[in-house]
Amino acid sequence: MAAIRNCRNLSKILSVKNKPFINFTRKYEELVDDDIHKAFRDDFLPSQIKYLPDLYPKTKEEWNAAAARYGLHPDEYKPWDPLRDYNGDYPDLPLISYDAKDPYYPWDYPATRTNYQEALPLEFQNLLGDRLEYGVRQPIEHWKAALLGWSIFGVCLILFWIMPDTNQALLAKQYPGQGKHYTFELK
Amino acid sequence: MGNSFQIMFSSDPFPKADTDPTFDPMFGFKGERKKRVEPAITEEALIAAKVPTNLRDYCAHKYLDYQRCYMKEFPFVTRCHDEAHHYLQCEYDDDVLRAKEYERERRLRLRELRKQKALEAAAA
Repeated sequence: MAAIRNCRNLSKILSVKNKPFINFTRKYEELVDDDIHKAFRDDFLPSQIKYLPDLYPKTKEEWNAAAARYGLHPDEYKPWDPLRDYNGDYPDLPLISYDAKDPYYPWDYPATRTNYQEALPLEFQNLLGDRLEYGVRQPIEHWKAALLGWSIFGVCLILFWIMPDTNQALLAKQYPGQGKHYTFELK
Repeated sequence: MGNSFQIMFSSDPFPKADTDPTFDPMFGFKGERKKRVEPAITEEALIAAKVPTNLRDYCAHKYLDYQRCYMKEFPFVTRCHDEAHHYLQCEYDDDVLRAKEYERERRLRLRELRKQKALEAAAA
């Protein structure tokens, strides 16, 4: 008990009564002026930065410039949520797989059904013709198929549960020293 | 499988599995039954060899022989096929004995039932 009380006191000393610590954390944004995403991006080589998305656009001009960079209309352009998934100024594009796209449209690259300088979604490598057919209507919807599979599994479990023991019924196993045991031969 | 369904749906007094016999072991035999030969190994030796309690049966000595051979010949444990065979044969014979005991119990229960019904018929 005393150890727990001491631990509590220690945590109080380190956090609640730690005035410098509290002041520092309250003014962290002012005291430490570093953009972690910028620092992370600057760690790459210039030849690599060339292919990376820019930082998240903060002003209207940056926003429009980013939209123009990806060939999108500023109203259409929607970057990833910087708090949930920070992907810089890269747009959060709808997932349309190869199979869901029009095969009769004159694509610049028919093998991937994409156009020249078209912005691609981040998961593009999973939406190619031999990968996921995301966006295509299925004969059985995915949730129904999952339900079907799990219900078959559940029915099997129930069957295993209610099945009787089909081993041959035997009387209790005999252990030496625990009762008198006889063979079926006569003396 | 067939036996299991018979036990499930029959009205006969089938004994439950893994129960002890309820009748006198000598009843119905012309002479006296032989006692089962206990393995020539002490409980202390089994404990010292860390044999699990469920294996300290009438085949414990053969089990121990097999384990000794296994440790000696490891990893070429197929050289212990004789020991393994003797142990498994012993366990099989033990199961056959248990099956015989079960059948004896079942038949004696049926006999009891027949006698009871005959008494009731005579009384009625």
